[in-house]
Amino acid sequence: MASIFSVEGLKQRASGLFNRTKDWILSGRKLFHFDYYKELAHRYRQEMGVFSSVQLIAVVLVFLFFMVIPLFAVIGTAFSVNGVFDFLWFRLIFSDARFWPVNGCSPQPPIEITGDYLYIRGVNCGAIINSIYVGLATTLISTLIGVTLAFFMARYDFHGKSILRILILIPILSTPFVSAIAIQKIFGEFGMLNLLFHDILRIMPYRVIFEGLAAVILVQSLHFFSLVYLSTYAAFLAIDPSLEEQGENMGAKGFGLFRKVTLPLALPGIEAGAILTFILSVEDLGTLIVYESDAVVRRTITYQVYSLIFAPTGSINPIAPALSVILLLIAIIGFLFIRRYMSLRHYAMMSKGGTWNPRLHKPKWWQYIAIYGFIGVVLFLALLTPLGIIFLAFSTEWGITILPLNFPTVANFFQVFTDPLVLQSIFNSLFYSGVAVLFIVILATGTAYIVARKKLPGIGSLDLLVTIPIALPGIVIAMGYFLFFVRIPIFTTTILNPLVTAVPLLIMAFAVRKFPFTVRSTFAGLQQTNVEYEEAAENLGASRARVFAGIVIPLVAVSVLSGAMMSFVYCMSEVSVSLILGGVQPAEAPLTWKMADILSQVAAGSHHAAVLGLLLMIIQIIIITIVNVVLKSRTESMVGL
Amino acid sequence: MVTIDLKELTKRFGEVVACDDIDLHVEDGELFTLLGPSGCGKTTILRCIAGFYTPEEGQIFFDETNITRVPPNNRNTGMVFQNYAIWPHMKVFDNVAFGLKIRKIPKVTIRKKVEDILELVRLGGLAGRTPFQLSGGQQQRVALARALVIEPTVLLLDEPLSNLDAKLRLEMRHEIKRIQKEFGITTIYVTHDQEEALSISDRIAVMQLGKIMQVDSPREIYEEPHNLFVADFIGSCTFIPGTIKQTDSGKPVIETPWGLELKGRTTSKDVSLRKGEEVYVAIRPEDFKVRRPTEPFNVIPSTIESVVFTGRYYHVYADVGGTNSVNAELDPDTPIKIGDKKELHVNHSDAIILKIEDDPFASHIKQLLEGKAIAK
Repeated sequence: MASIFSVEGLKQRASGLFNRTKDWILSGRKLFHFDYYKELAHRYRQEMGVFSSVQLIAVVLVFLFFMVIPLFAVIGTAFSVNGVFDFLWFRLIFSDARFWPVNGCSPQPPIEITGDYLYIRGVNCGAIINSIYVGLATTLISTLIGVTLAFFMARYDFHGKSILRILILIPILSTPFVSAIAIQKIFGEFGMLNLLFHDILRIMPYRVIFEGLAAVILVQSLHFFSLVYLSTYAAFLAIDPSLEEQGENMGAKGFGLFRKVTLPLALPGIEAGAILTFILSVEDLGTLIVYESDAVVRRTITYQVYSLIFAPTGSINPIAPALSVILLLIAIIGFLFIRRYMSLRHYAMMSKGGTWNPRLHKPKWWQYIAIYGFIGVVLFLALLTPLGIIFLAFSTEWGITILPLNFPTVANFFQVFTDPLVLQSIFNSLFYSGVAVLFIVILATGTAYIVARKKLPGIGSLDLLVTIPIALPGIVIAMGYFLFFVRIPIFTTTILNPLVTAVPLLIMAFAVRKFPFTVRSTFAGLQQTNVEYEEAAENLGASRARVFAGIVIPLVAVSVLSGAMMSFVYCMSEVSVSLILGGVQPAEAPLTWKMADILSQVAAGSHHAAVLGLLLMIIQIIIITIVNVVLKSRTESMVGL
Repeated sequence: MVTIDLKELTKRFGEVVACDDIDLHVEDGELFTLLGPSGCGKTTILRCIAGFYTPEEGQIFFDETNITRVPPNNRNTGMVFQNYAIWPHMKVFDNVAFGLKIRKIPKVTIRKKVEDILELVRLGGLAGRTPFQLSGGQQQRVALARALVIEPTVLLLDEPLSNLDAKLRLEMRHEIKRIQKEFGITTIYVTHDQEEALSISDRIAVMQLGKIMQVDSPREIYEEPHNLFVADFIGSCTFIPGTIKQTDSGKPVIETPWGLELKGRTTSKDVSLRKGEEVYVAIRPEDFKVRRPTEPFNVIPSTIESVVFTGRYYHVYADVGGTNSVNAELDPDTPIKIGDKKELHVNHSDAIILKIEDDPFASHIKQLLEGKAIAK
């Protein structure tokens, strides 16, 4: 690539740009010719057939109705006042100190020492900046931890690695609310850590207290680093060892080899994981709700949008759609970056042939210390969360002691599982998730098949359509449902109006939002399956439907299944749409809504919610174990990329 | 069974023309091979016939029926894929029975037919195996059985032997030929292996860059190459540059740049040579002999540059004219060593004169020869 700092380089680039523009315009011109459409129609008929066409239409309709149009309803509302185009809501947002630092950031110092107290709290710069910097900080910390961990795990061979590999998966378990509560307790003023390391062992000179957004960053980082880890680990393993060996052969070694060869090759995978972390951090609602008593935590985009929707009547503060658009913008830009990196990812795997022995080193003694030290600290912090949840679930009080009081007791379990509304919510979640996954499986296999096998214009857009939900904030989708299905008259008396019943919309929201896990996993399975299997069947006279049912499905069944199970897991722990739509009719509410409800209603709420969190954890452990052990793990299904 | 006709077949992938205006006629019951280097378009033609590609232009006929736009599952062709494509989730029996089940044939008949065909490809008794329990050669036979059992009108073989080891490849070659003749089925065979093509085919089409260079029987392809590409691609050849000195009496004479005169012949009837025209003379290594005193013509003085004894012959590279090198297989009875000055001889019927004009491959040969000259 010619440098942009030389005349020649600039000329080259300019002429390249010119040619591309010319090609684009010329290729655009064909859009006005009837023949182009005739040819296109012919190609579609030839490639797709009736069978794939039906699948395609079904998928596009579902995503159109339950994702695209609702989102456009949000965007439309955000940019209009009484149906007329206007920037009013954005002007209001950017002149309001709650959202934008019109008067600068809060004067309170982000880190403060008073006596033997060390406060870490972060600053308040209005909801928009707050959300972004929380996302960035979480991403930075998660990436540092995740990449280092992945490097150790992928490149070194040390004792206890196989057990570590399983333990490291624990933080990826998604237990909304309760993981934040557990960390809140453990890191509290008189929490386990302060008592242990400050009061008893006296290692820490200060009593460390995480407040406000810093606490949010802590909670999120302890969860999301596992996401970066998984995505990076897969990227390291996918690097052809001969590429590193070639680097070594030419004299690079140690950190130089890592920096110059390994890291660049793994970068697309790392970046994809990091950006996904950023998006998920920005749209996370569960943690914010746990810390909602803190005024600064309420100053985040997601929380603001959440609090500006009043579900029982479907009324929405007119600023909320505009705020949602900002959230949406952040998410979509991030997602488009991920796609760019994903398309780059393949160059690390270009080499063919040869045996594929991952490069494992025996660490030297000082490396042993570094590895065990690092992994020890990370694992300790990461395992605190599930441990805290267990403590909470089996106790009735935990505040100023290292271990909770009345531990262990099963009293909470009796109280929680005898509450008919709780049982109803568990049943609801299982039912919604089950039906949603059914939809997902039926539609995702067909979609993945079309994306992987059919070479037609527009396939890229289809891929974008079905994978983008991973990045779309649930709260925005939920708002879109209110704006579209409540306000458009033709739906008001139908079951699609959330004020009539939330069930169909909850199911469709789950299906759309958790679609990527299955579709990506199936797609990956298809890519690893030789097309010749399908051609051989077709050659022997099988119709397209027969090829799909008799050859494709059995060959990628494992991928579909593992993706579907992960979709199910994430449906069960879905928060944002559940909270908004569940709020309409408590009897129809899913489990996560009930957890939030218990937290705000019951005195021993955190202990009761922990019981439900534990239930979610167990379901997830079982499913992830099956996916990992029985079906062999697929990062695509775990991460959804 | 059927004849296959391709009429002006053209298939493009974006800018790349994979096969370019192909006309081809395959006889009923013939084993017809498409031979050429990778990327020459041979597999593209095969996949067009199978129906996996739709050509941009031209038509494909089975007998009189135009099948150009018939979907692959309605063409009744039997295809054997390069990687066999034995479905891993089905047993051998189910793999072979798949096409019959689709044709809704009664179960009893299916069982009988599958057993018979497995017997025929010498896999009797392995019907219950899973594909993982089969060796490469056995998988190959399953693929063949699966394609044949539906009694296809056309058998399509896409590099079927390329994944087998050398010994098995020889064995399977005979096997395929035997079965093909037994069924009398019109067969298109794609390979890049010329020895395989020469040994198995009734006729061969040699392809290069999406075009057919020559269609002939194996013997003619080898002995009567019509152009430089075929001469170079099939077997090996020494090319000697020269100009036409004399064209009369059916035995044209050429003169090399260093003044040597050679009598040769052309391979196709409709070639007309002009006096003074530049040509190449192509000579096979086995056609060089050490000159006997009785032979007055086509004597080529040479200096031996390298000798390898292979048992059956001496394989030598010898310098001729100071700028060219010939590649010859000489009789091992007379000892030869480096530096020997030998007079070589080639029969006029073995010196094939090939035109340079209109031959896109000429510049390639020229570079090759110049490269050799520079290397000296």
